[in-house]
Amino acid sequence: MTVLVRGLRKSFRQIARRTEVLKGVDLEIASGEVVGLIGPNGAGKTTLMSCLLGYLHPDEGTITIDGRAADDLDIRRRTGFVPERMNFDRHVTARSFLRYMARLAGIPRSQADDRVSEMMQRLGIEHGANKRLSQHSRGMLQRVGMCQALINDPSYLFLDEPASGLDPNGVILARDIILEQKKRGATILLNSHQLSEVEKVCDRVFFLSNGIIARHERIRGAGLNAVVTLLPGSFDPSVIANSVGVAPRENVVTVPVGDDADLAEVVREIVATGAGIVEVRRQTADLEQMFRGES
Amino acid sequence: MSPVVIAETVRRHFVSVAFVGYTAVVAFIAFMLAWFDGPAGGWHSFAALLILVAGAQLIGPEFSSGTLQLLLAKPINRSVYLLSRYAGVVAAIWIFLALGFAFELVGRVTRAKTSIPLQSMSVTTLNVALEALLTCAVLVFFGSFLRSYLNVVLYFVLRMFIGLTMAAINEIRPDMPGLMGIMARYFDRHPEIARDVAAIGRNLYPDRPITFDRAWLMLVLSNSAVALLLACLIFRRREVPYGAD
Repeated sequence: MTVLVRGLRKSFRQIARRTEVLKGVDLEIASGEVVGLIGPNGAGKTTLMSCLLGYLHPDEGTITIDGRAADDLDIRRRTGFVPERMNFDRHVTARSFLRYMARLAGIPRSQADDRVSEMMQRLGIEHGANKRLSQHSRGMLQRVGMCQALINDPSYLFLDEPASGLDPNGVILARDIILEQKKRGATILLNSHQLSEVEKVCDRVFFLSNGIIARHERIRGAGLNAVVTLLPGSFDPSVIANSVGVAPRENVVTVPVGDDADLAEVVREIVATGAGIVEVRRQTADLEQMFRGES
Repeated sequence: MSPVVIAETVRRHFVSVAFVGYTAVVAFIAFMLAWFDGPAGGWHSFAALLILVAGAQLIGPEFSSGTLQLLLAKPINRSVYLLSRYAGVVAAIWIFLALGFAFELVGRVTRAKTSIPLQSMSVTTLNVALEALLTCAVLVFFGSFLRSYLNVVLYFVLRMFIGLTMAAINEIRPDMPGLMGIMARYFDRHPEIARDVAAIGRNLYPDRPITFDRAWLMLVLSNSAVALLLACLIFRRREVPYGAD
Protein backbone atom coordinates (compact mmCIF):
# COMPACT_ATOMS: atom_id res chain seq x y z
CA MET A 1 0.00 0.00 0.00
CA THR A 2 1.28 3.46 -0.83
CA VAL A 3 -0.61 5.43 1.81
CA LEU A 4 -1.24 3.58 5.04
CA VAL A 5 -3.05 5.00 8.05
CA ARG A 6 -3.48 2.91 11.17
CA GLY A 7 -5.39 3.78 14.34
CA LEU A 8 -5.14 7.52 13.76
CA ARG A 9 -6.42 9.62 16.64
CA LYS A 10 -6.30 13.37 16.87
CA SER A 11 -7.86 15.71 19.37
CA PHE A 12 -7.74 19.45 19.94
CA ARG A 13 -7.65 21.18 23.29
CA GLN A 14 -9.73 24.30 23.66
CA ILE A 15 -9.08 25.86 27.07
CA ALA A 16 -10.37 23.15 29.44
CA ARG A 17 -12.20 21.06 26.85
CA ARG A 18 -10.65 18.38 24.70
CA THR A 19 -12.40 17.49 21.46
CA GLU A 20 -11.48 14.24 19.76
CA VAL A 21 -11.85 14.77 16.03
CA LEU A 22 -10.32 11.55 14.68
CA LYS A 23 -11.17 8.47 16.72
CA GLY A 24 -9.09 5.72 15.19
CA VAL A 25 -9.00 6.09 11.43
CA ASP A 26 -7.70 3.19 9.35
CA LEU A 27 -7.29 3.50 5.62
CA GLU A 28 -5.03 2.41 2.86
CA ILE A 29 -4.62 3.72 -0.65
CA ALA A 30 -2.86 1.67 -3.28
CA SER A 31 -0.37 3.12 -5.72
CA GLY A 32 -2.10 4.79 -8.66
CA GLU A 33 -5.49 4.74 -6.99
CA VAL A 34 -7.87 7.71 -6.91
CA VAL A 35 -9.71 7.77 -3.60
CA GLY A 36 -12.49 10.11 -2.55
CA LEU A 37 -12.97 11.31 0.99
CA ILE A 38 -16.51 12.33 1.74
CA GLY A 39 -18.46 13.09 4.87
CA PRO A 40 -20.52 15.77 6.55
CA ASN A 41 -19.02 19.03 7.82
CA GLY A 42 -17.10 18.47 11.04
CA ALA A 43 -16.53 14.78 10.32
CA GLY A 44 -12.74 15.25 10.46
CA LYS A 45 -11.86 15.25 6.73
CA THR A 46 -9.71 18.36 6.95
CA THR A 47 -7.97 17.11 10.09
CA LEU A 48 -7.25 13.80 8.37
CA MET A 49 -5.88 15.63 5.31
CA SER A 50 -3.72 17.84 7.57
CA CYS A 51 -2.30 14.77 9.33
CA LEU A 52 -1.56 13.13 5.98
CA LEU A 53 0.32 16.25 4.90
CA GLY A 54 2.29 16.39 8.16
CA TYR A 55 0.76 19.71 9.29
CA LEU A 56 -0.78 18.14 12.38
CA HIS A 57 0.81 15.51 14.59
CA PRO A 58 -1.43 12.55 15.48
CA ASP A 59 -2.03 11.79 19.17
CA GLU A 60 -1.94 8.09 18.37
CA GLY A 61 -1.55 5.91 15.32
CA THR A 62 0.73 5.91 12.33
CA ILE A 63 0.77 7.39 8.86
CA THR A 64 3.18 6.15 6.25
CA ILE A 65 3.46 7.12 2.63
CA ASP A 66 5.55 4.72 0.61
CA GLY A 67 6.87 3.40 3.92
CA ARG A 68 8.06 6.82 5.14
CA ALA A 69 6.70 9.42 7.52
CA ALA A 70 4.16 11.87 6.11
CA ASP A 71 6.51 14.85 6.50
CA ASP A 72 9.58 13.12 5.08
CA LEU A 73 11.31 15.43 2.60
CA ASP A 74 11.58 12.73 -0.04
CA ILE A 75 7.81 12.26 0.15
CA ARG A 76 7.35 16.05 -0.02
CA ARG A 77 9.44 16.06 -3.19
CA ARG A 78 6.83 13.78 -4.76
CA THR A 79 3.74 15.42 -3.26
CA GLY A 80 1.33 17.99 -4.62
CA PHE A 81 -1.30 19.69 -2.51
CA VAL A 82 -4.24 21.83 -3.60
CA PRO A 83 -5.77 23.69 -0.65
CA GLU A 84 -9.42 24.64 -0.60
CA ARG A 85 -8.43 28.29 -0.55
CA MET A 86 -5.21 29.60 -2.01
CA ASN A 87 -3.53 31.79 0.59
CA PHE A 88 -0.39 33.57 -0.46
CA ASP A 89 1.01 37.09 -0.64
CA ARG A 90 -1.65 38.65 -2.87
CA HIS A 91 0.77 41.29 -4.20
CA VAL A 92 2.83 38.86 -6.24
CA THR A 93 1.92 37.95 -9.81
CA ALA A 94 0.69 34.48 -10.68
CA ARG A 95 3.84 33.83 -12.70
CA SER A 96 6.29 34.86 -10.00
CA PHE A 97 4.32 32.88 -7.39
CA LEU A 98 4.42 29.77 -9.57
CA ARG A 99 8.10 30.28 -10.35
CA TYR A 100 8.79 30.39 -6.60
CA MET A 101 6.73 27.24 -6.04
CA ALA A 102 8.54 25.50 -8.91
CA ARG A 103 11.92 26.41 -7.45
CA LEU A 104 10.85 25.22 -3.98
CA ALA A 105 9.68 21.98 -5.55
CA GLY A 106 13.23 21.47 -6.77
CA ILE A 107 12.84 22.39 -10.44
CA PRO A 108 16.12 23.93 -11.67
CA ARG A 109 16.10 27.66 -12.43
CA SER A 110 16.76 27.01 -16.14
CA GLN A 111 13.62 24.87 -16.46
CA ALA A 112 11.31 26.68 -14.04
CA ASP A 113 10.03 29.33 -16.47
CA ASP A 114 9.23 26.81 -19.20
CA ARG A 115 7.51 24.50 -16.76
CA VAL A 116 5.44 27.37 -15.31
CA SER A 117 4.36 28.48 -18.80
CA GLU A 118 3.48 24.93 -19.77
CA MET A 119 1.36 24.40 -16.64
CA MET A 120 -0.34 27.79 -16.92
CA GLN A 121 -1.31 26.96 -20.47
CA ARG A 122 -2.66 23.57 -19.42
CA LEU A 123 -4.75 25.17 -16.66
CA GLY A 124 -5.92 27.97 -18.96
CA ILE A 125 -4.50 30.84 -16.90
CA GLU A 126 -1.71 32.07 -19.17
CA HIS A 127 -3.63 35.30 -19.88
CA GLY A 128 -3.49 36.19 -16.17
CA ALA A 129 0.19 35.30 -15.73
CA ASN A 130 1.31 38.84 -15.00
CA LYS A 131 -1.71 39.84 -12.91
CA ARG A 132 -1.30 40.03 -9.16
CA LEU A 133 -3.00 37.25 -7.22
CA SER A 134 -5.24 39.89 -5.64
CA GLN A 135 -6.66 40.60 -9.11
CA HIS A 136 -7.62 36.98 -9.75
CA SER A 137 -11.11 35.60 -9.17
CA ARG A 138 -11.65 32.73 -6.74
CA GLY A 139 -11.85 30.28 -9.63
CA MET A 140 -8.63 31.59 -11.19
CA LEU A 141 -6.87 31.33 -7.83
CA GLN A 142 -8.05 27.74 -7.59
CA ARG A 143 -6.49 27.06 -10.98
CA VAL A 144 -3.25 28.71 -9.81
CA GLY A 145 -3.43 26.42 -6.76
CA MET A 146 -3.76 23.36 -9.00
CA CYS A 147 -0.92 24.63 -11.15
CA GLN A 148 1.49 24.85 -8.20
CA ALA A 149 0.50 21.39 -7.01
CA LEU A 150 1.13 19.77 -10.39
CA ILE A 151 4.31 21.68 -11.21
CA ASN A 152 6.64 18.81 -10.28
CA ASP A 153 4.50 15.92 -11.64
CA PRO A 154 3.79 14.60 -8.13
CA SER A 155 3.34 10.93 -7.35
CA TYR A 156 0.94 11.78 -4.50
CA LEU A 157 -1.72 14.36 -4.97
CA PHE A 158 -3.84 15.67 -2.10
CA LEU A 159 -6.77 17.69 -3.36
CA ASP A 160 -8.99 19.59 -0.97
CA GLU A 161 -12.13 20.72 -2.77
CA PRO A 162 -10.21 21.38 -6.01
CA ALA A 163 -13.38 22.37 -7.87
CA SER A 164 -14.45 24.86 -5.22
CA GLY A 165 -15.17 28.24 -6.84
CA LEU A 166 -14.66 26.93 -10.36
CA ASP A 167 -17.10 27.62 -13.19
CA PRO A 168 -18.52 24.62 -15.14
CA ASN A 169 -15.58 24.74 -17.58
CA GLY A 170 -13.22 24.77 -14.62
CA VAL A 171 -14.98 21.80 -13.02
CA ILE A 172 -14.62 19.83 -16.26
CA LEU A 173 -10.96 20.89 -16.49
CA ALA A 174 -10.33 19.81 -12.88
CA ARG A 175 -11.91 16.44 -13.64
CA ASP A 176 -9.79 16.02 -16.78
CA ILE A 177 -6.66 16.96 -14.87
CA ILE A 178 -7.40 14.38 -12.16
CA LEU A 179 -7.95 11.71 -14.80
CA GLU A 180 -4.73 12.74 -16.57
CA GLN A 181 -2.81 12.47 -13.30
CA LYS A 182 -4.37 9.09 -12.64
CA LYS A 183 -3.32 7.93 -16.10
CA ARG A 184 0.20 9.12 -15.29
CA GLY A 185 0.12 6.84 -12.25
CA ALA A 186 -0.34 9.38 -9.45
CA THR A 187 -1.98 8.31 -6.21
CA ILE A 188 -4.75 10.80 -5.46
CA LEU A 189 -6.80 11.63 -2.38
CA LEU A 190 -9.73 13.85 -3.24
CA ASN A 191 -11.67 15.59 -0.50
CA SER A 192 -14.84 16.91 -2.07
CA HIS A 193 -18.47 17.62 -1.36
CA GLN A 194 -19.30 17.34 -5.05
CA LEU A 195 -20.46 13.74 -5.02
CA SER A 196 -21.04 13.58 -8.76
CA GLU A 197 -17.40 14.57 -9.38
CA VAL A 198 -16.15 12.04 -6.83
CA GLU A 199 -18.23 9.41 -8.56
CA LYS A 200 -16.75 10.29 -11.94
CA VAL A 201 -13.06 10.17 -11.06
CA CYS A 202 -12.59 7.99 -7.98
CA ASP A 203 -11.85 4.28 -7.82
CA ARG A 204 -12.92 4.08 -4.19
CA VAL A 205 -14.54 6.33 -1.69
CA PHE A 206 -14.11 6.58 2.07
CA PHE A 207 -17.00 7.93 4.09
CA LEU A 208 -15.72 9.68 7.19
CA SER A 209 -18.28 10.23 9.90
CA ASN A 210 -17.83 11.28 13.50
CA GLY A 211 -14.08 10.75 13.36
CA ILE A 212 -14.01 7.24 11.92
CA ILE A 213 -14.18 5.65 8.48
CA ALA A 214 -17.80 4.58 8.68
CA ARG A 215 -17.82 2.94 5.29
CA HIS A 216 -15.72 2.50 2.20
CA GLU A 217 -17.06 1.66 -1.19
CA ARG A 218 -15.51 0.63 -4.47
CA ILE A 219 -16.80 2.70 -7.35
CA ARG A 220 -14.77 1.45 -10.31
CA GLY A 221 -15.26 -2.25 -10.86
CA ALA A 222 -18.38 -2.28 -8.69
CA GLY A 223 -21.74 -3.19 -10.16
CA LEU A 224 -23.68 -0.68 -12.18
CA ASN A 225 -27.15 0.59 -11.45
CA ALA A 226 -29.68 1.57 -14.07
CA VAL A 227 -31.64 4.44 -12.59
CA VAL A 228 -34.81 4.91 -14.63
CA THR A 229 -37.20 7.76 -13.95
CA LEU A 230 -40.71 6.93 -15.13
CA LEU A 231 -43.45 9.25 -16.26
CA PRO A 232 -45.90 9.50 -13.32
CA GLY A 233 -49.20 7.75 -14.03
CA SER A 234 -47.81 5.88 -17.02
CA PHE A 235 -46.90 2.66 -15.19
CA ASP A 236 -48.18 0.00 -12.84
CA PRO A 237 -45.60 -0.62 -10.05
CA SER A 238 -46.39 -4.34 -9.83
CA VAL A 239 -45.92 -4.79 -13.59
CA ILE A 240 -42.57 -3.02 -13.43
CA ALA A 241 -41.54 -5.17 -10.43
CA ASN A 242 -42.49 -8.35 -12.34
CA SER A 243 -40.62 -7.18 -15.40
CA VAL A 244 -37.26 -6.06 -13.91
CA GLY A 245 -37.42 -7.62 -10.43
CA VAL A 246 -37.35 -4.30 -8.54
CA ALA A 247 -40.36 -2.21 -7.56
CA PRO A 248 -40.21 1.52 -8.28
CA ARG A 249 -39.89 3.98 -5.37
CA GLU A 250 -42.23 6.79 -6.25
CA ASN A 251 -41.48 7.03 -9.97
CA VAL A 252 -37.84 5.92 -9.92
CA VAL A 253 -36.69 2.36 -10.37
CA THR A 254 -33.07 1.46 -9.58
CA VAL A 255 -31.98 -1.86 -11.05
CA PRO A 256 -28.55 -3.44 -10.42
CA VAL A 257 -27.01 -4.47 -13.75
CA GLY A 258 -23.83 -6.23 -14.79
CA ASP A 259 -22.81 -4.03 -17.68
CA ASP A 260 -24.07 -1.53 -20.24
CA ALA A 261 -25.75 -4.25 -22.33
CA ASP A 262 -27.78 -5.32 -19.29
CA LEU A 263 -28.70 -1.68 -18.72
CA ALA A 264 -30.05 -1.41 -22.28
CA GLU A 265 -32.02 -4.62 -21.73
CA VAL A 266 -33.63 -3.19 -18.55
CA VAL A 267 -34.71 -0.10 -20.48
CA ARG A 268 -36.20 -2.27 -23.25
CA GLU A 269 -38.13 -4.34 -20.67
CA ILE A 270 -39.56 -1.24 -19.02
CA VAL A 271 -40.55 0.22 -22.37
CA ALA A 272 -42.24 -3.11 -23.19
CA THR A 273 -44.53 -2.67 -20.14
CA GLY A 274 -45.85 0.51 -21.72
CA ALA A 275 -44.33 2.79 -19.09
CA GLY A 276 -43.16 6.21 -20.19
CA ILE A 277 -39.48 6.89 -19.52
CA VAL A 278 -38.39 10.40 -18.56
CA GLU A 279 -34.70 9.76 -17.81
CA VAL A 280 -32.19 6.93 -17.73
CA ARG A 281 -29.07 7.33 -15.63
CA ARG A 282 -26.02 5.10 -15.47
CA GLN A 283 -24.99 5.07 -11.82
CA THR A 284 -21.68 3.56 -10.69
CA ALA A 285 -22.28 4.04 -6.96
CA ASP A 286 -25.04 5.72 -5.10
CA LEU A 287 -22.89 8.13 -3.13
CA GLU A 288 -25.79 10.40 -2.41
CA GLN A 289 -27.74 7.58 -0.77
CA MET A 290 -24.61 6.52 1.09
CA PHE A 291 -24.09 10.08 2.27
CA ARG A 292 -27.69 10.35 3.44
CA GLY A 293 -27.60 6.97 5.13
CA GLU A 294 -24.36 7.51 7.01
CA SER A 295 -24.52 11.17 7.99
CA MET B 1 19.79 27.73 4.06
CA SER B 2 17.70 27.86 0.91
CA PRO B 3 18.92 30.41 -1.67
CA VAL B 4 15.46 30.25 -3.28
CA VAL B 5 13.70 31.39 -0.07
CA ILE B 6 16.35 34.02 0.72
CA ALA B 7 16.18 35.49 -2.80
CA GLU B 8 12.37 35.47 -2.81
CA THR B 9 12.22 37.15 0.62
CA VAL B 10 14.60 39.92 -0.49
CA ARG B 11 12.80 40.27 -3.83
CA ARG B 12 9.41 40.64 -2.15
CA HIS B 13 10.77 43.48 0.01
CA PHE B 14 12.04 45.33 -3.02
CA VAL B 15 8.82 44.97 -5.01
CA SER B 16 6.84 46.28 -2.03
CA VAL B 17 5.78 49.89 -2.56
CA ALA B 18 5.85 50.49 1.21
CA PHE B 19 9.40 49.20 1.62
CA VAL B 20 10.79 50.99 -1.43
CA GLY B 21 8.98 54.21 -0.51
CA TYR B 22 10.23 54.09 3.08
CA THR B 23 13.77 53.36 1.88
CA ALA B 24 13.62 56.35 -0.50
CA VAL B 25 12.33 58.67 2.25
CA VAL B 26 14.99 57.54 4.74
CA ALA B 27 17.73 57.83 2.09
CA PHE B 28 16.59 61.40 1.46
CA ILE B 29 16.57 62.12 5.22
CA ALA B 30 20.08 60.64 5.55
CA PHE B 31 21.25 62.85 2.68
CA MET B 32 19.65 66.01 4.13
CA LEU B 33 20.94 65.35 7.68
CA ALA B 34 24.43 64.96 6.24
CA TRP B 35 23.99 68.09 4.14
CA PHE B 36 23.11 70.08 7.25
CA ASP B 37 26.03 68.49 9.07
CA GLY B 38 23.88 66.43 11.45
CA PRO B 39 25.36 63.75 13.71
CA ALA B 40 26.76 60.63 12.06
CA GLY B 41 23.97 58.08 11.60
CA GLY B 42 21.25 60.53 12.60
CA TRP B 43 18.77 58.55 10.46
CA HIS B 44 19.25 55.30 12.41
CA SER B 45 16.06 55.66 14.43
CA PHE B 46 14.15 55.18 11.14
CA ALA B 47 16.13 51.98 10.62
CA ALA B 48 15.10 50.73 14.06
CA LEU B 49 11.45 51.10 13.08
CA LEU B 50 12.02 49.22 9.84
CA ILE B 51 13.80 46.40 11.68
CA LEU B 52 10.77 45.92 13.93
CA VAL B 53 8.26 46.05 11.08
CA ALA B 54 10.25 43.70 8.84
CA GLY B 55 11.05 41.34 11.72
CA ALA B 56 7.40 41.22 12.83
CA GLN B 57 6.38 39.89 9.40
CA LEU B 58 8.94 37.14 9.37
CA ILE B 59 6.78 34.14 10.19
CA GLY B 60 3.62 35.00 12.15
CA PRO B 61 1.57 36.45 9.29
CA GLU B 62 2.54 33.54 7.01
CA PHE B 63 1.34 31.22 9.72
CA SER B 64 -1.97 33.02 10.19
CA SER B 65 -2.71 33.63 6.53
CA GLY B 66 -2.35 29.96 5.67
CA THR B 67 0.61 30.60 3.36
CA LEU B 68 2.77 28.21 5.36
CA GLN B 69 0.61 25.21 4.42
CA LEU B 70 1.35 25.81 0.81
CA LEU B 71 5.08 26.27 1.42
CA LEU B 72 5.53 23.35 3.81
CA ALA B 73 3.93 20.99 1.28
CA LYS B 74 7.12 21.56 -0.74
CA PRO B 75 10.34 19.66 -0.03
CA ILE B 76 11.88 22.14 2.37
CA ASN B 77 12.95 21.48 5.93
CA ARG B 78 11.08 23.69 8.39
CA SER B 79 14.24 24.90 10.13
CA VAL B 80 15.87 25.66 6.79
CA TYR B 81 12.80 27.61 5.77
CA LEU B 82 12.74 29.61 9.02
CA LEU B 83 16.46 30.42 8.90
CA SER B 84 16.25 31.33 5.21
CA ARG B 85 13.35 33.70 5.86
CA TYR B 86 15.41 35.25 8.67
CA ALA B 87 18.43 35.60 6.41
CA GLY B 88 16.31 37.16 3.66
CA VAL B 89 14.74 39.72 5.98
CA VAL B 90 18.13 40.61 7.51
CA ALA B 91 19.62 40.91 4.01
CA ALA B 92 16.82 43.32 2.98
CA ILE B 93 17.45 45.40 6.14
CA TRP B 94 21.18 45.44 5.46
CA ILE B 95 20.59 46.64 1.89
CA PHE B 96 18.38 49.39 3.33
CA LEU B 97 21.18 50.34 5.77
CA ALA B 98 23.77 50.29 3.00
CA LEU B 99 21.61 52.67 0.95
CA GLY B 100 21.12 54.98 3.95
CA PHE B 101 24.87 54.94 4.58
CA ALA B 102 25.60 55.66 0.92
CA PHE B 103 23.20 58.63 0.83
CA GLU B 104 24.63 60.00 4.07
CA LEU B 105 28.11 59.70 2.58
CA VAL B 106 27.03 61.39 -0.65
CA GLY B 107 25.46 64.19 1.40
CA ARG B 108 28.67 64.76 3.35
CA VAL B 109 30.92 64.50 0.27
CA THR B 110 28.85 66.98 -1.74
CA ARG B 111 28.63 69.38 1.23
CA ALA B 112 32.35 68.93 2.04
CA LYS B 113 32.50 71.82 4.52
CA THR B 114 33.81 69.75 7.39
CA SER B 115 35.78 66.53 7.46
CA ILE B 116 33.74 63.37 6.87
CA PRO B 117 33.27 61.31 10.11
CA LEU B 118 33.68 58.10 8.14
CA GLN B 119 34.72 55.95 11.10
CA SER B 120 31.84 57.11 13.27
CA MET B 121 29.38 56.66 10.39
CA SER B 122 30.67 53.14 9.66
CA VAL B 123 30.70 51.97 13.27
CA THR B 124 27.22 53.26 14.13
CA THR B 125 25.75 51.77 10.94
CA LEU B 126 27.53 48.48 11.60
CA ASN B 127 26.09 48.44 15.12
CA VAL B 128 22.57 48.98 13.76
CA ALA B 129 23.16 46.13 11.29
CA LEU B 130 24.22 43.88 14.17
CA GLU B 131 21.28 45.00 16.27
CA ALA B 132 19.03 43.94 13.38
CA LEU B 133 20.44 40.41 13.75
CA LEU B 134 19.36 40.19 17.39
CA THR B 135 16.02 41.98 17.07
CA CYS B 136 14.96 39.81 14.13
CA ALA B 137 16.18 36.67 15.90
CA VAL B 138 14.13 37.52 19.01
CA LEU B 139 11.09 38.24 16.81
CA VAL B 140 11.58 34.90 15.01
CA PHE B 141 11.77 33.16 18.37
CA PHE B 142 8.53 34.80 19.56
CA GLY B 143 6.96 34.16 16.14
CA SER B 144 7.83 30.47 16.34
CA PHE B 145 5.12 29.96 18.97
CA LEU B 146 2.81 32.94 18.41
CA ARG B 147 0.45 33.77 15.58
CA SER B 148 0.13 36.81 13.39
CA TYR B 149 1.91 39.95 14.69
CA LEU B 150 1.80 38.87 18.34
CA ASN B 151 5.58 38.45 18.26
CA VAL B 152 6.10 42.21 18.10
CA VAL B 153 3.40 42.72 20.76
CA LEU B 154 5.26 40.36 23.11
CA TYR B 155 8.54 42.08 22.21
CA PHE B 156 7.18 45.44 23.40
CA VAL B 157 5.20 44.11 26.37
CA LEU B 158 8.26 42.26 27.69
CA ARG B 159 10.42 45.33 27.18
CA MET B 160 7.93 47.49 29.06
CA PHE B 161 7.60 44.90 31.83
CA ILE B 162 11.37 44.76 32.30
CA GLY B 163 11.63 48.56 32.28
CA LEU B 164 8.80 49.00 34.78
CA THR B 165 10.05 46.21 37.04
CA MET B 166 13.56 47.68 37.14
CA ALA B 167 12.15 51.16 37.80
CA ALA B 168 9.99 49.80 40.62
CA ILE B 169 12.91 47.91 42.18
CA ASN B 170 15.12 50.99 42.03
CA GLU B 171 12.54 53.54 43.21
CA ILE B 172 10.59 51.89 46.01
CA ARG B 173 12.04 51.83 49.56
CA PRO B 174 11.37 49.50 52.50
CA ASP B 175 10.18 52.40 54.69
CA MET B 176 7.37 53.28 52.26
CA PRO B 177 3.86 52.62 53.57
CA GLY B 178 1.54 49.85 52.37
CA LEU B 179 2.13 47.63 49.37
CA MET B 180 5.16 49.61 48.18
CA GLY B 181 7.01 48.95 51.41
CA ILE B 182 6.07 45.24 51.36
CA MET B 183 7.32 44.93 47.76
CA ALA B 184 10.55 46.80 48.55
CA ARG B 185 11.26 44.54 51.52
CA TYR B 186 10.51 41.49 49.35
CA PHE B 187 12.91 42.68 46.64
CA ASP B 188 15.52 43.37 49.33
CA ARG B 189 15.20 39.82 50.57
CA HIS B 190 15.42 38.49 47.01
CA PRO B 191 18.13 40.46 45.18
CA GLU B 192 18.23 37.73 42.52
CA ILE B 193 14.94 39.05 41.10
CA ALA B 194 16.48 42.41 40.17
CA ARG B 195 19.61 40.68 38.91
CA ASP B 196 17.69 38.23 36.71
CA VAL B 197 15.25 40.79 35.29
CA ALA B 198 18.17 43.08 34.46
CA ALA B 199 20.01 40.17 32.82
CA ILE B 200 16.98 39.33 30.65
CA GLY B 201 16.76 42.99 29.64
CA ARG B 202 20.49 43.18 28.84
CA ASN B 203 20.34 40.01 26.75
CA LEU B 204 17.16 40.69 24.79
CA TYR B 205 17.40 44.47 24.46
CA PRO B 206 21.07 45.42 24.84
CA ASP B 207 21.79 49.13 24.46
CA ARG B 208 23.54 49.81 21.19
CA PRO B 209 27.02 51.27 21.77
CA ILE B 210 28.25 54.23 19.75
CA THR B 211 31.69 52.73 19.30
CA PHE B 212 32.82 49.29 18.26
CA ASP B 213 32.46 47.03 21.29
CA ARG B 214 33.70 43.47 20.94
CA ALA B 215 31.81 42.26 24.04
CA TRP B 216 28.57 43.70 22.70
CA LEU B 217 29.24 42.07 19.33
CA MET B 218 29.72 38.67 20.98
CA LEU B 219 26.57 39.17 23.08
CA VAL B 220 24.51 40.00 19.97
CA LEU B 221 25.87 37.08 17.96
CA SER B 222 25.55 34.48 20.72
CA ASN B 223 22.07 35.60 21.78
CA SER B 224 20.89 35.65 18.17
CA ALA B 225 22.19 32.12 17.71
CA VAL B 226 20.41 30.91 20.86
CA ALA B 227 17.14 32.62 19.84
CA LEU B 228 17.31 31.07 16.36
CA LEU B 229 18.13 27.62 17.74
CA LEU B 230 15.15 27.75 20.11
CA ALA B 231 12.94 29.07 17.30
CA CYS B 232 13.95 26.15 15.04
CA LEU B 233 13.31 23.59 17.78
CA ILE B 234 9.83 25.00 18.46
CA PHE B 235 8.94 25.53 14.81
CA ARG B 236 9.92 21.99 13.84
CA ARG B 237 7.27 20.55 16.15
CA ARG B 238 4.69 23.26 15.71
CA GLU B 239 1.39 22.25 14.18
CA VAL B 240 0.30 24.25 11.18
CA PRO B 241 -3.44 24.69 11.37
CA TYR B 242 -5.46 24.44 8.22
CA GLY B 243 -6.77 27.64 6.68
CA ALA B 244 -6.29 31.27 7.51
CA ASP B 245 -7.20 33.01 10.76
